[in-house]
This record gives sequence, structure tokens and C-alpha cells, in this order.
Amino acid sequence: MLEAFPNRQSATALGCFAALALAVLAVMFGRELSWLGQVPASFSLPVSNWTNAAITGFSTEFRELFRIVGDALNWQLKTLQSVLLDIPWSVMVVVLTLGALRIAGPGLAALTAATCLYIVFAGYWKESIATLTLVSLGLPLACIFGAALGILAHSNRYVAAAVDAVLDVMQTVPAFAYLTPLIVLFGFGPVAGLVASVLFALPPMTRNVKVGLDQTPRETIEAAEIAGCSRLQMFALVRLGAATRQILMGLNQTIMATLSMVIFAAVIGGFEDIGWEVLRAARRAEFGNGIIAGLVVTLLAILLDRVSEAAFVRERQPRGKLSATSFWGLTLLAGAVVWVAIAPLLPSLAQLSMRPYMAPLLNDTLMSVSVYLSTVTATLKSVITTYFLLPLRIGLMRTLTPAIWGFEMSPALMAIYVAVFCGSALVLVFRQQVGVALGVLFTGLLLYTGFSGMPWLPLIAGLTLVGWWLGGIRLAAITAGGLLAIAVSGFWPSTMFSAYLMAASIITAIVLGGLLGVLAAEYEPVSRTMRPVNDFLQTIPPFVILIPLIFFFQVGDFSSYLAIVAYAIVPMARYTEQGLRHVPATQIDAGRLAGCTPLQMLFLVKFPAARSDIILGLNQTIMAALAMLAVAALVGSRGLGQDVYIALSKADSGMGLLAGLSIAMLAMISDRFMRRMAVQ
Amino acid sequence: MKLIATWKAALSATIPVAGGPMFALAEGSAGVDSARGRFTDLKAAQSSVPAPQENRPAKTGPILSCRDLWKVYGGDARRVRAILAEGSSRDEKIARLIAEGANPSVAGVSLDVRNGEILMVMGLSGSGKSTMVRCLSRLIEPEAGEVRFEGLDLLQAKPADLTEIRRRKIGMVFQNFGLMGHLTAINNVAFPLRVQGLALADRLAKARSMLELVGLAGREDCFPHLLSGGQQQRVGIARSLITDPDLWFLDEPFSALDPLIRKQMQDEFLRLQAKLHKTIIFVTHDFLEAARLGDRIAIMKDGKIVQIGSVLDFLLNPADDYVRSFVADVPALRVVKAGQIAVPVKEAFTSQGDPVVNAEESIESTLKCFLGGAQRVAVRKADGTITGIIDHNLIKSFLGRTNSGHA
Repeated sequence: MLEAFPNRQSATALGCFAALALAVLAVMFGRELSWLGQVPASFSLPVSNWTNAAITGFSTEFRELFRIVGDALNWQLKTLQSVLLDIPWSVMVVVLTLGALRIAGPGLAALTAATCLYIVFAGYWKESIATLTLVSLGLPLACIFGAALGILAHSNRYVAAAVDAVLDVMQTVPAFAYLTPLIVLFGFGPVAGLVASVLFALPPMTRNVKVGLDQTPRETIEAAEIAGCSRLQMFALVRLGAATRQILMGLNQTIMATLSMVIFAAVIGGFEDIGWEVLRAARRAEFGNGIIAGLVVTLLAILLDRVSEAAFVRERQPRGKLSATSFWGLTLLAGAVVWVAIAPLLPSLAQLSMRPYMAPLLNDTLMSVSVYLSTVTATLKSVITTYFLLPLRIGLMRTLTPAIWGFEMSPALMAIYVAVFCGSALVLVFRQQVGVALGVLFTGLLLYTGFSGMPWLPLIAGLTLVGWWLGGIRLAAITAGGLLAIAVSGFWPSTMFSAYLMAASIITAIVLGGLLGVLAAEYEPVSRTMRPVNDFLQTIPPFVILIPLIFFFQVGDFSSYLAIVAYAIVPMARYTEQGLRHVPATQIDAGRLAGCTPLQMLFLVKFPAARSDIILGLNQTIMAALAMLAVAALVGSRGLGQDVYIALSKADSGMGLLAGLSIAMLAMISDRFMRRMAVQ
Repeated sequence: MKLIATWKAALSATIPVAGGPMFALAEGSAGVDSARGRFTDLKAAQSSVPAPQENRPAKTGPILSCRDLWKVYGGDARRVRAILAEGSSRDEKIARLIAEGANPSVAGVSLDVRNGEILMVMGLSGSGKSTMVRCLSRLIEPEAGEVRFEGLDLLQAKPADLTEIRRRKIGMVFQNFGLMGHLTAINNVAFPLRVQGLALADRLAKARSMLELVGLAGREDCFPHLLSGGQQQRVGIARSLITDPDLWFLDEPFSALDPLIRKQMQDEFLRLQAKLHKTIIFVTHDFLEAARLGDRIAIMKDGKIVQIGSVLDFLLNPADDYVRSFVADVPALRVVKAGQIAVPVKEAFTSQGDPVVNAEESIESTLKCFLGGAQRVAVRKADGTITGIIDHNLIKSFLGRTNSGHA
């Protein structure tokens, strides 16, 4: 069979044409060929029930163990929380501000003081302490287990491969998905959330420890060997020392991941932390409270990130005249003085809280703003939904109705539609651009059927073929296996819904992000304005993005779409800018000498040179969008994200895990495709 | 350059230069004999004196020697060992290894390093010189062969013994310094003592004096990234010497440095060695550096040593075209020292009005004397005694046999 084709490329092209033809057939004879169009009911297996049974069996088998661990963690949580709450807020403010001054300088000290005071006046002191309790208990656990795994992976090649694979899955499965089985194991309550935070925050530690240990320069190792190091000395004195910077960088990432997941895990409830407040406000549509609490989360995140970055990542700078011991001694002394002398004089937290006055005011103001803007927001929403989201979701065949677009898909229109796409594909084939022709045909079909009407078998076949072309038999097997597994476990319709949401957000993120990247690369002021916004979007827990979105656009697909775009646009803009900025100067000079216009320069010189950077950005964009998928489900889109969320509320860990794994599967497949494309 | 050209032209105008090999120290041809004969007459004219002394301290047997050393990368480990264990010739083994898909990086090297000598190992990148040196200290485990250090077979040594030998007797300097970024300069230097478990105060005191020795006093508390390349390598040198090793490996120590700094560091190296008298194996890809610093030079190609000997051997009798191409552009007049070609004379010999040059000076500087009309030049050691004589014919045949005209 294969000898008939000169190479893999033409075999793929022919196969894809065949798959497209099949898909067209399936669409035309929807009723007769329904097995080709939709996953037949007989095809799915009760995989989620099996998973549930396995998890239940596991949890009953080790019930005692989990109970003991859970009780221990619970006790620690409660103790730490009550200790932290016993310290008067004024003492906390003084000690934290002085600490920030020492570690990170006057600017961040001011930010620390401002954040603390804001929290006090916002009336969220106790809630913030609860969150910090979770973080300060989760962080050391994540560090210990993460570092241990990293050391293991460093010392053994096989362990490294296994750890790498597990971490890949852990970082792509949405955190919500492993909350559910943890609830089965640890019961409802903060402990399950804490364990989830530890699991979520451990991969960056492991990765950085391993990379740091692995990357000790060869000559440094040799110098140590010549000095006669024993194995233990080599590890403790040489490798660990050389890895310090990398490990500290990991620590910064771990802190942020812990905070982010602690905020998420509030979904479980039971600890009255700040994440819970945000969620509750969002659920009750108390936008004043939501904004106030969201700002607390944002400030906490920015503060933790910047201070830990200053402490661990930046170059060491001389630290003033006081020695470390005397400085911290004085700080503690100041704290004690404040505790004894000043704290009793200050009004209580409840008296200080301005929220009872602020929240309604904010609410009313926001309401009037939202009413004032409602025509704009409503128009924006309906235009994008009608002309962009709906056709992608249910296709032109269902949107071209008098009710939606105002006119029908008449036979004549249909003929023109088919003629345009087939005609341009034919022209492209004659120009030897078979790949592009296939893309055009696929787009035509997709626009007609939408993601929900896309025949599943031809789609899987086509993707498998492309996988084969890109990455050989291995990638083909991963693609086919992964997608069939999703279909078998009954998540195909959800997956297609998620695919639609993803496609819409990713296309938008690419266009807008790409544009922003180009502008930032060309105009310095744009770049300077964009940088803090990007930093901000990447630092704040994704959760917080949702609040203003619900406020202006209500619950639904559109808000999810915007949330994903907001999160996914950052890498696209960043990588595009970086790629365009790093085009070698000689190439630009050559283009200029050849007489390129600015646009020609951009499209003929800079884009091709920045290609691999841009594809990397694209990959990051897809990953970010997938990560946001489950979070965005909170504002009410359907698809895999919502499956995970529903599973959480029903404590159906099988369903939660499988839906989460489906997302991970999509992430893995698209990641491999993208990497291959970047190489070719 | 101009000087030499003028001089050669003047020479060839007055004296017809013979085409045959007139000058050959190693071969002992007529030219040398005649020169010797004349010197013998000179000596006879002097009252009898003790035999001329060697330039360097008396050398004993080899301190380090390796026999048939092999390092092979790739290929099936068992098949590789089987091939190496066979009795076939080296070239046969190499051919068979390559056929197996393996890559012999060090191929059957045998070598002796005498106590107190500086052996320069040269070659292009990929010729196996760094790998060979690492096999000698067992940083890389060779596949076959024998390495004897002070009579002990290093390749058979138990890990504990090997660690002990490395701690006390071997020091090494690396191309990219191999410093520990998380330690200050003084702690880097003290590191080998830290590994040995010496008390903090002792090792810091010793490290401080080492840093002083290499001219880095005052920079003790700098982290490596705050030091220049030359300073970092000084730290590397101080670290490698702090245990007072007998055997000192230097793996392209100055290659990563700027030319000016490199020259400075070479001077520094010579100054240190004049004080310390280590046995040194020095890897370089720079023939001038090898000629300047080394007693003997070994040139490697494809994992084999193609020639080993003194600078003169390389200039006068290159083993093959590879070596010839290596020395083709070497300014012989500058790299060969007067002391290296001078015909030795008895002690208490006086210059009798002839110009005198230092033994460590290049031949180029003697040319000036000849240009000034001298018929011969006396060569003087650092301590002031005259140890040899270079005459008109000797220098003429030297010029004829080397490529000094290109210089």
C-alpha cells in the first residue's frame, strides 16, 4: 500500500481527503450514517463507574491512614490559625512591614503596609489569615515532597522519566479534577483543599530541583572529584550549592501555585478563607463584596510574588548596616512593644471594617455603571455570540435561520458556499499547496457543521493522519488512542463543546495577542504599558478575572469565552513581541536594502524569522486556555470544565477525574502537535 | 620579520647555503660534528673543568605512566571490551571499533611523565587530548589500559584509595575554571581542604596564603561572577594547588582568556612553577603556548599520540604532514630558546668578548648579535655561568632546516 505513494506527505494528504469526503457523507446522510456522525450509545463504556469503584475500594482499604493524616493536618491547621489570629493585627502589620523592608526594600515595604491596612479596613483580616494559614502549611509540605521527588528524579533516569510523565499530567489536569477524589479520601473540608494545594504546588519545586541538580557544570563536578569528594559531599557541598538559585526560583513558583490553589480549593468550603468570600460574593451577586475581596486576593498574590522574588530570585545586595540577628531581634522587639503598648488602644477589627458602608456604595456605583454601559456590553455580547460563537458551536446549518441571522440557507446560497470553498481548494491544489487546500476544505466543513455537528470518526481519522505525518507512528497512536478513549468514556459531546470554546478563545487570543505583540515590538510605549498588565494578569489567581466578567456580561458562554481570552492572550502577546524583537539585525538590514515596505518587512522578513517563537507562544496560549477551561466553567459554560465542576458538587470522583483527564489528553495532543510543527 | 629577512639575504649573499641536511641535533650529522669539533677544541684550550650541568634538576624515573590506554564512546560495551582485549594491532582495533559504530576517543595511548617535567598535550578539538588527561586522573573511566602513578595502578585502585590519592596528590585546573558559583573566592580555594575535613580556621588561613600567592589578596570574599576571567582562573589555580599536589593537570587553562591576559597568566604560571617544581600535564591547542611553557610536547590526532618530543624535534623532524601543518606557521626563531640549540661547553668558560645572550631568550635575539658582525654568541644561564655557544654555521643550518623564513 505504502509503495504506491512517493512519501508520507502525499499519503497523509490523500487520507485527509478521504476523511473529509467521509465527513461530508456523514453530514449529508446524517440519519443513515449516524454512527459516523455521533458516538453510538453502544460504544461507550461505564469507565467512570469503574473509576469510582476503584477509588471507593482504595479509600475503604486505607480509611484509617487517611483519617489519621487528615486529623493531623486538620489539627495543625486549626492550631496555626488560632495562633495567627491571637496576634493583634497591629503587631502583624509592624512585623511584616519591617520584614519586607529588610528583604525587599522600601517600595515593597510600603506595599506590604498598604495591603495589610487595606485588608483591615476591608474587614477581611480573619479570612486573609485563614488563607495565609493554608498557604503556610501547604508550602512546606509542597517543598518537602517536591524536593524529595526532584532529588529522586535526579538520581535515577527511570524515576526521572516516570516523574516527568506524572508531572506532565498533573500540570494539565485541572486542579478541580483531583479535588473530587481527595474529597472522597479526606472528606469535605479544608484538608482536602490543603492536600490538593500541595499536589498542585509540588511540580514546580520538583522540576526546579531536578534541573538545578542536573545542571551543575561538568567542570565543577570534576573539580570536586579531583578534590576527592565523597558521594554525600558531592551532593551536599557541590550540587545543592550550585542548584540553590534554581531551587529558590522554584520556591517562588511554588508559593504562587500554593496560593492560587488555596484560593481555588475554597470551592470545597469549610474554612472561611478569602477565596470562599470571593466565591460566595460572586454566587450571591454581591458585586461590591466581590470586588473588595477580589482586590484582597490580588494584593496578596502580588505581594507574595514580589517579596518572594526579591528574597530568592534577585541578585543579593548589601543589606544595610545591621546584622541579620540584630535586625530580626529589633523587629520582634518592636512587635512586642506594639503588642503591649499600642494594640490594646486600637479599636477592634469589627469596628474598623468599612465594608458595611463601602460594599453597598460600591455595589450601587457599579450597578449604575453597568446599566450605563449595558447597551454597549449587550451589543458586544450579542454580536460576538451571533456571528462568531454560534457558528463555531452549532454551525451555519443551524445558525442560518430567520430566527438567528434573519435569513435562511437557501439551496442557491448553499451552492455558492460549496462552490467558493471547493473552488479555492481546487486552485490551491493546482498551485501545489495541498496542505492549505485541505485546511480550507476543513474550515468550510467546520463552519457548516460547527463543532457539535462535526462527525467524530472522520475527525479522529484525519487528526490521526496529521499526527502520523507530524510525528510518526507514535504521535498517531497517541492521537487515536487519546481521542478514542475520550469517546469511549462518554465525554465526546463535552469535549466538542470545550473544543468550540477553546477554538473561539484561542482564535481571538491569537489575533488580539498577535496584534498586541506586533505593536509592542514596533512601538516602545505599547510595550512599556503592556508589560505591567501582562504581569498582573499572570500573577493574580485566574479566579479573580471572573468577577468583573460576571458583573458586566452575566453568567454564560460569553463570560467564559472572555475569561479564557484574558488569560490566554498573555503568552501570545509576549512570545510574539519577543520573537519579533529578536529577529537578527542583519536580516532586517537585508530586507531594508531589498526595499521592503514596512508591511513587507513584517510579513516577509520578521514573521518567518520569528516563526518558532510564535509557535511556542501559540502552544503556551493553548495550554493557558486549557488551564482556564475548568475555572471558566464557574461562570457557566458547558463542556468538560463543567463536567469537572458538576462532579465536584456531586462528589462523583470518577466523572471528575475522567473529564479532567480528557482535558489533559487534549492538552497533551495539541502540545505534541505544536512542538512538531515548531520543529518542521 | 624584516630583520630576519635582511639577515638571511646577507647570509646567502656571502656564504652559499648547502642544500643537504646540515643541521640536525638529533641525527648527529656532519654539521653538528664539525661544530662540536670546534667547541671541543675550544674546551681543550681551556683548562679541564667539571662536566656541564643540566639546566633542570636531575630527573628520576616516570612518576606517571600509562600503557595502551583506550577510551571508547558508543557501541555495545561488551563488544567493545572484547575487541580491545584482542591481540590485534592498534589500527586494526580502531577500524573494527568504528565498524561497530563505536568512537575511540583515546586509542592505545602510551606515555611516560617524568618527575618535575612539564608535558604539553596538544591537538585540535576532538583529538582526544582532554579525554586522555581525564582518563589519567580517572575522571573518565577508560575501557582498557594501565595507568601507573607512583607505582600504583590507578585503574585498579579501590574507590577509597583513589579518593585519597586525589585528595593529597592530584590537582587540576579547568578551561572554564569549574569554580563553585555559590562559594566565595576563598571558600572555593579552601574547598579541597573542606572536603578533607580540615578545621575552618586552618583551611581559611591556608586559602588566604594561596590567594596571595596567585596575586588575589583582597578579593577573598568576592563571588566568582564578580571576578574577571583571569582572576577566576587564578582562583582555580590556587584551589588546585592548595593540597600541594605532586601531579598537576591543567586542561586548557588559558584558552578561555583574552590574548593579553593569557600572556600574563603564562608568565604567572612560569613564576609559580619556578617556585614549586610540580610534575605537570598541560593541555593546550596553542603550539606557541606549548613551546613557551613545556619541556616536552605530545601532539594528538584521532585519539593517538602522533609525536612526542621537544620543540626542536617538532620543528626539525615533524613526524608527518599533520604535525608539519601544525608547526607550519610557527615562528621558529621566536619559540626556540637560545639554550635549546646551543652547543654545551664546560663550566667556567668565558665569553672572550663574544656577545652574550640568556638561555631563556629566543634565537631571534641572537640574530641581532650576528647582524652586529659577531661570529658566535655565548649563552648564559640565569645564574650567570656560560653554558653553551651558538656559532654562525649552527644558526645558518637552523634557519635552513626550519621555516623561520616565514616568520
